[in-house]
Amino acid sequence: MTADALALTVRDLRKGFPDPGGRRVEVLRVDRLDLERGRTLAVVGESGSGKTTLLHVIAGILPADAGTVEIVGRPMTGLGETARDRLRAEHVGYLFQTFNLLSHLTALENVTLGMTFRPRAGTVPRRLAREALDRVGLSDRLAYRPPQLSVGQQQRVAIARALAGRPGLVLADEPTANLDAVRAKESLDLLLAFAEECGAAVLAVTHDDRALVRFQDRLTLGMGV
Amino acid sequence: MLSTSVAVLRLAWQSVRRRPLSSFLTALVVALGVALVVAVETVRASADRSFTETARGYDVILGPPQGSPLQIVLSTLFHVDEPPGTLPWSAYDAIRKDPRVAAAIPYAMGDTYRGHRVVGTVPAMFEVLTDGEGRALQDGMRGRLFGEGRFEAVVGSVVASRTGMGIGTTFGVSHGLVEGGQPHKERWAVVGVLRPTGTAHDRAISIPIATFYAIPGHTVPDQEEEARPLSAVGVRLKSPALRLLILQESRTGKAEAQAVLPADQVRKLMAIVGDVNQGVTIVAWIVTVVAAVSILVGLYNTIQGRRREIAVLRALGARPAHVFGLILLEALILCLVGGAFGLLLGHGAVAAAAPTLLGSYGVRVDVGIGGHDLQMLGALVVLGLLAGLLPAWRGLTTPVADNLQAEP
Repeated sequence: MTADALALTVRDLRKGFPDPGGRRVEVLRVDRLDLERGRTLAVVGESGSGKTTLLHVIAGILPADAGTVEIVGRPMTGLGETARDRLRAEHVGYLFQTFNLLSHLTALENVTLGMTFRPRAGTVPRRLAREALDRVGLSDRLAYRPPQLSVGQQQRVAIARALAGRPGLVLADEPTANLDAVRAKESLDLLLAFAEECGAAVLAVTHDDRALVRFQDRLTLGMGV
Repeated sequence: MLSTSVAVLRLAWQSVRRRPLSSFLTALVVALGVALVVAVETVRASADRSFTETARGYDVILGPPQGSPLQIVLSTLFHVDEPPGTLPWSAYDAIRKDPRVAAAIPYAMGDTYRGHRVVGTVPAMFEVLTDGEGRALQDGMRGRLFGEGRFEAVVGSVVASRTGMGIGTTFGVSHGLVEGGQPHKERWAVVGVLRPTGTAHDRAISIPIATFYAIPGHTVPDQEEEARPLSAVGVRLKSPALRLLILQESRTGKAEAQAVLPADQVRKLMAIVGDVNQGVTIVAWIVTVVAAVSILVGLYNTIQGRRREIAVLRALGARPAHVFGLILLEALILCLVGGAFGLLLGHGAVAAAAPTLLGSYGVRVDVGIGGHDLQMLGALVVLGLLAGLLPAWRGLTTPVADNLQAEP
């Protein structure tokens, strides 16, 4: 398999945090993980098993203590903070549990924001944001602000923001946790279909059993891979 | 790079607009500080210029041998102090016959009308003295100059507006240079009203010097013309370069008069007044700095509530420099928007007050944006950046991972 076909490669990843006594406690241990473009992976595990930490380390928000992470063939680990930010801006889409839309920005501005910090962004983000919002069925809500949208619509804006820039990898943190069963299904359908169209891999942390079965692969943390 | 910078600027503007009341109030405090600085500076500069221009008409002033040179200049040109004594008419005669002298204007003072100084002089004064634009005082006046020896008067624009005097008005004067003096029985008729000149003559009433001497008590009976007392003589030389020579001759000659250089005295006066002006300007700047501090405090406090927003921006790929720049730009926007509003407010207030300042105080103010305003904007940029540094640093050090999980 070529490196380009892999959206994510993880080897011997370790991450720990100091406890109140100052002793370092390891909370994340992933020996090997490969995720091809277009594939979907659900990450499950007990509370405190390091699921969210895994997302943060893969995204470069937190540095790894040891091991390597590669996003679309480019190393994330070993880079400085600014370089990790650049790599994340260019190749990672992020979908948050509580959507994390900025309430003072319109739907279009929120989606555009997801591509604003890419190197040489130019005017492309606005065009891509319109297309993405059209794709998620919100072309008539471009100028609406999050408080003016329903919860389901906010989730669709968040999906559009994560995928508008055609990232190689989408990281989703409990993407259905805040939605009722019907909306959860609709949102997951939309996320997985849109990601497939974009050729993006999806790595999602989830506790939702109904969601779990929709993913092709599963990684259970705290029990080895 | 540029598109990201523009996007960060747009984000900063949206963030400022998101808090309309607090942003408005913060910008308003900046605006008030800047307006105060602008108003104080404009009026100060105009008053300074007004003083300097008033002193421009004469190269030398001959005054009484006693008294300070500054007092002679203040009483003769600015009508704000009592003449320190008298000099004899013969001194005037001598200087006006001097071949180096282009014009010599006698002044006799000692009376007032409703608080306005009455100056006994000659019509030539209105030709010799000019305003700041170089126009002779007599240019553009209503009516005409008084005739030598007639009981006629020319009044300044401030006198006309304050007292309601106009051409044809008759009036009597009171003894002394403060209100409430013994009234004299002689009466004069106003024959001319000066246009606003921005000089002290706007606040004075000029009468023929011969009629001043006709007032009982201003001369002793049968006094020789040579011995008549004068308050001062304004001297315009054919070459201003001669003024030091005249000054030197005055110091070594007869002690019946002393020559003073009005320009030198005004410079000394400005040095004294400048300290007061500087104090007022410093107070105005302190107001502006306090406004900048309010930006700092306001922004710093908002960062606590914006940790999640900052974390989201970082998760979406914003680099630390973007977050730092975003908050710095917010401070800059508040400072510059407030500053621009303050400039308009300050100049607007000065423009609104300009007719009153000219009409009531004889100070002509320049209305309009000038080089000083650009310096002010430059200072505001620095203040805004300084005010934003601490909040921006706080934003920069916001932990991303912790705050992505926080409840909204």
